Amino acid sequence: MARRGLELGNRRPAVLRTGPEFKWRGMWLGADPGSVPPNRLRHGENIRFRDGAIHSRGGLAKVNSTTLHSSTANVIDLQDFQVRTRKLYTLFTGCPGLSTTVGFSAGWYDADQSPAWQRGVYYNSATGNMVAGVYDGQLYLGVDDKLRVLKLINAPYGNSESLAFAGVEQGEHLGEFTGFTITALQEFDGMLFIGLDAGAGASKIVTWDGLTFRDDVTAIDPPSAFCKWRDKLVGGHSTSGIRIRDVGASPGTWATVAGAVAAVHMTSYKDVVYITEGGTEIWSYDGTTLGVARTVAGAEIRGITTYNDGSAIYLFYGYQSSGSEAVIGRFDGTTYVDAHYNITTTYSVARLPRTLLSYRGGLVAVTNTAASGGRLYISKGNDTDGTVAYTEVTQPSSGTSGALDAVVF
Amino acid sequence: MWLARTTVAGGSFGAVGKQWWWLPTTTSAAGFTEIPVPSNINVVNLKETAAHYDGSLFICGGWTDNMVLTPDLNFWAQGIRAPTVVPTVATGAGTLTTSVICYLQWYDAETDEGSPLSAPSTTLALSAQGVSWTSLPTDPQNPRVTHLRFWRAVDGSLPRLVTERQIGVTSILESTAVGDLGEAFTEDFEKFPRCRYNAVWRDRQVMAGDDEHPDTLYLSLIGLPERKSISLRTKSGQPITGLAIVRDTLLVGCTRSFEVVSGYTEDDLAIEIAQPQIGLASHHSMRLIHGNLWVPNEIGFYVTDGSGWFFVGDDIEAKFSGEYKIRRDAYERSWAFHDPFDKIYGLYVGPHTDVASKNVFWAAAYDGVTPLEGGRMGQPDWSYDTFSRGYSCGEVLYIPNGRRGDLYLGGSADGTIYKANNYDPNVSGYDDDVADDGTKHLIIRTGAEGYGDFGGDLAHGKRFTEIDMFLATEFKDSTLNLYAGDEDAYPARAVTKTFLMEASRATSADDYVWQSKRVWSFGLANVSGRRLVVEVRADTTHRLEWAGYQVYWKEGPAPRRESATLEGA
Repeated sequence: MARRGLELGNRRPAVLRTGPEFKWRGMWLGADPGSVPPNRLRHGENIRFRDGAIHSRGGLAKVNSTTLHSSTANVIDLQDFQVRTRKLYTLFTGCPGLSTTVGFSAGWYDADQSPAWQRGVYYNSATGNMVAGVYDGQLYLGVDDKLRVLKLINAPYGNSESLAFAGVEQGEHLGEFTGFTITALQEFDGMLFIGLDAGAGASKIVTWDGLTFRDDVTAIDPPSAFCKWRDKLVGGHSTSGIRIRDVGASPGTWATVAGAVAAVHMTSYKDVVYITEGGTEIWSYDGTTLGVARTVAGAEIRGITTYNDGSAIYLFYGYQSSGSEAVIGRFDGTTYVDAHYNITTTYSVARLPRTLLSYRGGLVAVTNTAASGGRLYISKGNDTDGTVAYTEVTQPSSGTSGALDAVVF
Repeated sequence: MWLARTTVAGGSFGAVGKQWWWLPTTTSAAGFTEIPVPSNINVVNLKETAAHYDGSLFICGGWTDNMVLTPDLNFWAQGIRAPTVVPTVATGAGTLTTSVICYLQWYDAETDEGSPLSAPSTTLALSAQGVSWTSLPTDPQNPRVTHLRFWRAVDGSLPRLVTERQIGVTSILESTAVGDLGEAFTEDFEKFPRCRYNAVWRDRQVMAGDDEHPDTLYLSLIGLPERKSISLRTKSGQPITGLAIVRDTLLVGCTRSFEVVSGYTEDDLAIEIAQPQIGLASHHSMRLIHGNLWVPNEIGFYVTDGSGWFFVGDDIEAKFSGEYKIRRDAYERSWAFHDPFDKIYGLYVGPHTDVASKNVFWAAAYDGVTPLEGGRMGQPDWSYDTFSRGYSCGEVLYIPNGRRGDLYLGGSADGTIYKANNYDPNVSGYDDDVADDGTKHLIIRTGAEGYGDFGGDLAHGKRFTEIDMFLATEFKDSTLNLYAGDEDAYPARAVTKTFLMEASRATSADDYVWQSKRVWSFGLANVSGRRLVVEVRADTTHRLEWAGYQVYWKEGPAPRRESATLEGA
C-alpha cells in the first residue's frame, strides 16, 4: 500500500461499486464513455457474468494432439450425430475371462458405448449351440433348444459392462424345442425362420410370426444357415444341398437343390447365392446351377459378406490360409482377388475370420486369434485392403476365449 | 458419435474435403475415422447445415450435392435418379392374360429409398403368358443403389411392384399374378436441387439456398425427405438466407425480411411475410436457445419465439451495425455457438475495431433475456471472447445418452478441434487458452465515472485518495490500471496507476475452505480528475473473480491540462 501524504480538502464519502444490491452487467457501447451506467462496462474481454460478479472465461484445450487431415486443414463443421443403436453382437463359446469352453455367451460391440465391447449374457449350462438373428426389430438368441428374445440393458456410459450391471440373463424366454438344437435364425416374409437340428433326416425348420410357432418343413437334414436371395429364402444344411422357399404362409413349400456343400455362411451378391463351408471352396447358386465358384488351396473359408465401399458393392470372404494367416479376399462379380488383405501381416495373432460383416461404414473381420481368443478387426472406413491399418479390438476382460461369431443389429 | 468435416485448399482450384466420425475418447488424429465420400461428390468450402430425421442426418451446403448420412455411416447423395433406359419387355412363358406397361426403378435397400420410375415400356398384350425383361441396366451410376425394382401397370391401373433383384441381374422372366403384386406407385417426385440450407418441419425436409433460384423454398413429401414435391417462392421476392424451426413454426430468413410458412398438405401450404424489415445476416448465425431463436442482422440482434420479435441489441446497437458496415462479408459469413455451461450465445466475426490483432466473438450472456412488463424483453450482457487463432465452427457435443454437453470449436487452418471449459476449475490452468497461439487477455474496463460529483468549473474536480478492489485471482497475478481525467480518452497522457494484485489460493483447513485474498486497498497519489476509469487486466488468467471496488476522493483541482505536470504532484 502506497505511503499516504498530507491531503488537502474535505474527504468525500466513498462510493461502493459492489455488494448484494449491485450486479455487474455487460458492455454498454454508446458513444460517450462518461454515460456508461455504473454497473456496466466500457470494454469486457474474455469474461463471464456470474452471481453479480465478473469471472474469467474458461480456457480451451486441444482435443487431438496430432492434426486431422492436414496441418492446414480447416475444421469447418462439427455435428452431434446421436445415431440409433447399432451394435455388433458377438457370440462366444464360453465367456471371455470366465471360460473358453463352458456354455455360451453373447456380448456387444458399439463404439458409442463405454466400454466399447462388453459381455452381456452368459448361459453357462448350455452345451449345444448359440445363434442370433434379427426379427421384428429385436434380437433373438437361440441357445441349445431354447429361443429367447434379448431385452438389451445398457450399462451407463463409462461405468461398467452390461454383464456386471444387469447379470447373466437379459432374455425373455419364448419357446423350447425339446430334442432339437437351434442352429440358424433368419427373418423372411414377416416370420422368423428357426433351423432345428435333431440329426440327419430328423431335423426341421419352424416359423415364428410373433404369436405362433409352426413347423414349416420337417424330416430334413440339419439346417445350418439361411440367407435371403431374390424374393426367396435359401437354407443350407450341415450335410449337403440347399433348399429354397417362396413367400407364403407357413407351412411353406421348399424346393431342394442337390450339391455337396455343407453350409456355414451364405449371402447373396449380384443375384447369386454364395456359400462357404469352412473348407477350401466357395459355392454359388444362380437359380440354375449349384457348384463350386472358387477354390483357395489349403484354406479354411468361413466368413462371407457384401460390403459397399462407397464406389461399388463387393463380395468379401475370409479364410485362414495354409500358412495359418487370416486373409480377406474380394470378388467384384468377375474377378477374385484372394489376397486382398492379410490381417496377420499387421496383427500377428490374427487367425481364422469366422465371420465378416459390414458395420458402421467399415468391414469387420470377426476372428479367433492364436492363444488369445476373439478379436475384431475393423477397416478404417473403406480402406478394406489395409492401406490404412485396420483397428484391432480386443475381447472384453482378460484371458482367452472360445470361438467367436457375430451378427449386426 | 460425433462428426467433423475438414477442408484443405486445393492445389489449383477449390478445396479437398473429408468427412469424419469420432468419439468422446478421441485424443489424436488416429481416433478419427474417415467416412467415404462418393467419387463424384466434391467438397464446397462453405459451412453445411444438417437436420436429423428418422435416424439419418440430412446435410446441405457443404458438398456439390445434398447428402445423407445413414445410421450405418454410409454417406450418399440425396435422391436417386430414375433409370435412363426404357424397359425392354417381351412375352414369355407364363399364366397372365392382360395388358401391361412396365417400369424400372433403382432402389437402395439400406435406406429404403427409391428413384422415380423410368419411362414406360411399350404396352405388352399377354395371353396366358409372362413378361420377359431383358437388357436390364446393371450400372445405376450411383453407388448407394443395391437393387433394381420391377413395376407393372396392369390394364391402365397404377404401377405396382412386381419384384426386386440385386444389381447385376441382366434378365428375368416373371408371371406374377395381379393379386400378388405389391404396393402401388402413387406419388410423383423429383430429386432436390443442390441447396445451402435445410430443416425438417412437419415430417418434411425443407431446403433453400438454391443458387439458381435463391428465392425458392423446396419441400419434400411427408415422411420421404429425399423426394422433392413442392416449391414455394418468397412473397417478398428476396433471396433466402436461412431457415429455422421455432415451436413448429417454419421461419424463412431473407435478406431484409422474414417469412413464415404455414399449412400441412399440398392444398394448404402457403408462405407469408412475417417481418418486413427484419432480415437475416447469415443462416449459421442463428441459434435456438430455450425456445428463442437468436437472429443477427444489419441492425443488431433479435430474438423470436416464432411469433413475437424482440430487439436484444440495445447496448451494442451502434457498434454492431458499424462493424457490420465495414466488414460486411465477415458478418454475412458469421456463425454462432450456444454454450449451455456458461449460458452464452457467441457470434464469431473475426477481426474487430476495438480488439487489436485478435479474432472476436460477440458473447451474449443470455440469463437476463426474459420477458418484461409491457411486452419488452430483457437484454443480455455483452462482452467479447477473443482469440489469436480463427475458428470455423462451434457445437455442443454430448456423449451417447448424455444429458449434458460441452462446447467444441473447430480450428481454422490448423487441423485441430478444441474443447472449451476443459479444465478442472480447481487446478492451475483452468482459464488458459493454452491451445491458442497468443496470450489470452482478460480486460475489464468501466466507463469514465464521475460518481455523481463532477464539480463546478474547471477549478473543481476530485483528488482520488484510495481505492479498494474486491478481486480474487488464484494462481496468477492481475493488474489494476486507473485512468483519471475528464473524459475517457483525454488527456492522452492522463495519469495512470498500476497496482499488482497477487495470486492467492483458497485454502482448505479445519473443515472449512478459507477464501483467497480478495480485498486490496491502494492509497493513491496524484490521481486527479473529474472522472475515473477502472481497469483490470490479466494475461493468461487463472480463475479470476471481480466483485467490484470502492473509491475515495477529496475535493481538488482537476483542470483540463495540456501537459503531464500535475499541480501538487
